[in-house]
Amino acid sequence: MRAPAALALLAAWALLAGCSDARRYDQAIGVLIDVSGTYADQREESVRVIKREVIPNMIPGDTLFVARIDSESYDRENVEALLTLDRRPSHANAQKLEIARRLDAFATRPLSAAHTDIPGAIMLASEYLGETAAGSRVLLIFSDMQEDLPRGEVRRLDEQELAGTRVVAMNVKRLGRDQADPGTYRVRMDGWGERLAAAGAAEWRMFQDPGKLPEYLAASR
Amino acid sequence: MESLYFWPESPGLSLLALWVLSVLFLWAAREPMLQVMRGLGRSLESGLASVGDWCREAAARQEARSREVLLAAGELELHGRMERELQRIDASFTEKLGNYASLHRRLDDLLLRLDGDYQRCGDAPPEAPGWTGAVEAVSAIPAAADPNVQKVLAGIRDSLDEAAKRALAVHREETAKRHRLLGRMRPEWKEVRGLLARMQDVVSRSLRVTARVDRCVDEFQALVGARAGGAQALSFSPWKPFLVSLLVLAIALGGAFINFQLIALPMSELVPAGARIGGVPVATVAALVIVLMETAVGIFVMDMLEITDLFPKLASLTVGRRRLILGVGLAGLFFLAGVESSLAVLREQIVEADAALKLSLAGAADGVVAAPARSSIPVAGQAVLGFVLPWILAMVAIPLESLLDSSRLLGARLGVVLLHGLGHAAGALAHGARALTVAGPSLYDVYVSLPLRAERMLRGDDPPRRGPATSAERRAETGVA
Repeated sequence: MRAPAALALLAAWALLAGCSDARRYDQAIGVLIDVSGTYADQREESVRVIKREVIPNMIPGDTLFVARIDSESYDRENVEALLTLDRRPSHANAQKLEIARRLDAFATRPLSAAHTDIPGAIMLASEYLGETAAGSRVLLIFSDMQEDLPRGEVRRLDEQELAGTRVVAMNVKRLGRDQADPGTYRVRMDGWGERLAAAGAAEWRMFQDPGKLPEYLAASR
Repeated sequence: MESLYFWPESPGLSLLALWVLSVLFLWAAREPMLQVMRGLGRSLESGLASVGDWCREAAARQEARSREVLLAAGELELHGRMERELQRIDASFTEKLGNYASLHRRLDDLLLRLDGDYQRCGDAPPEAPGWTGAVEAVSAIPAAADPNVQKVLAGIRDSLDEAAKRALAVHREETAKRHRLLGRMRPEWKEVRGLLARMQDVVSRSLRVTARVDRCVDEFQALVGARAGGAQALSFSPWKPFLVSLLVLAIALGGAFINFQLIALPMSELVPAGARIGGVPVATVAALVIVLMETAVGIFVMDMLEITDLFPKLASLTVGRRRLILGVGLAGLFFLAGVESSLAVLREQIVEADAALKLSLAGAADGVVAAPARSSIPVAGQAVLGFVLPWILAMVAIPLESLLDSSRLLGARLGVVLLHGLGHAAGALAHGARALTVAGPSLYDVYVSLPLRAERMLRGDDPPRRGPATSAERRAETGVA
């Protein structure tokens, strides 16, 4: 009688152990903010969107990586903030407040860049996000998506550079020639889509309304 | 279908060819095919009939067993009621009749004292002074006008007056004493009346309890009668406890949900917030486990208090061990209630901190963030709820036991109904199979009627010309005995 009972207990334990989830539900969010040329005036707005739509909805265990896009973006100096939230919500709240202060300082710091190295920033972000081994990775790019590399610099995205990463273009500013011919803007964005898909990106999309970002981040978790 | 066509460009011709071929094939295989059809029909019919018989027998067995279980449940319930009544009688008689001896003694004492007082209250009128005869003798002297006689008479009158006054005073004093005694008797009479009223109360209560026992005995006799007769005679019905316990459990489930909501958020401070089990955050699972633990501890406590009997093995434990488990259970409940209360307070703090954080990130003024609207009422309310709800959840064991018991009885009844239904369905299918066994060969012959007719013409056989088949012929054809 005891042997079946012991077997039943073992089976129940195995069932419970089987229920424990090997999948990771934490999320790594990378944010790239363009500080060069025509997009320099959008820095404060970008920080405001991050503070309002991204940080409040992060949960303990999530990672936030913020880097700026300038002339030479593939540089550790470009990293403005990197933190993983503590497992305890009260500590995580304190960390959120701290990173919000750092982003405020970044928004008001005088910065300028002659060129726009978007792929370099993407490569930098891909390395940092890959290190987290988070369950889902999302890369938000605040830029006009107009690449302008300095002469002699080469940026080539590997095939698996963005494997499993969803890339979202936020608040894309239209340039002067985009006004003259919107087709130019669309061709540019399509080009980025193809390029990122070739780099293994799980998704490429744009949001005009930042209010949809929390829902998107929750769905991609 | 088109792949079967001989000539795909001529489907009509292909279908005709297929039909002709099938008719020829079936005509050639008519005898074995008819045997197969009859055999299959008979097997199907007998199988379904067996299933129907089995279902009916099983339903009858289950019904008898269900009736036994129902009677046993009723007996148990009645036994419990009688036991409760007898315990009440025992307690009542022990208390009331235990006092009866002292009550009676007090009554005796009082009556003795009253009797003594009554004896002392006897009215003894004072005797008349003994001078009356002397006065009559002196007054009979002839020389009544003699001054000496007058003096003697005056002296006698004075002595008589004085003696009368003294006797009157003594009489008054004794009367006053009697009045005092009578006055003292009044409260004792009242006490006697009160004691008699209490005795009457004791007797009437005993009579009422006896009447209840009489009713229980009557029901018990009805139960014994029901064992011999139909179970419907029994007044016990599982529906009432089932519905009531279901309702109470639903309410308890609502309480558990509130309890769960109260502690789910703050649990994220105690367990890893990012980890999940089956997609559910560990904090949520932990909160659920705590609620379930409270229910489990409550079940043990109720068993130890002998209110429920969900674990029969626990009933056989010694009193000491039962008290130990009860103490541990109550301490565990107290501990869990304390934990929940503190978590409820923590929850309020986390909610406030989250609100302040969101305000801060949204760019609200620092003053607004630093001094959010504060009130101690929600905190106190949540703390009290957190402490009280575990104790309420602990009582879930009572309706749970009732639900389990009544579900067993209702399940048995449902099983009987299902078995009866299956039996009837199997019987109907067996009937259908019998009909097919009869009709199938005829339909087969209709399909191959052209080659069959040709065969009979070539053989010179007369076509079967007969009226409706007799039952004996049908039996012979279908092979049913």
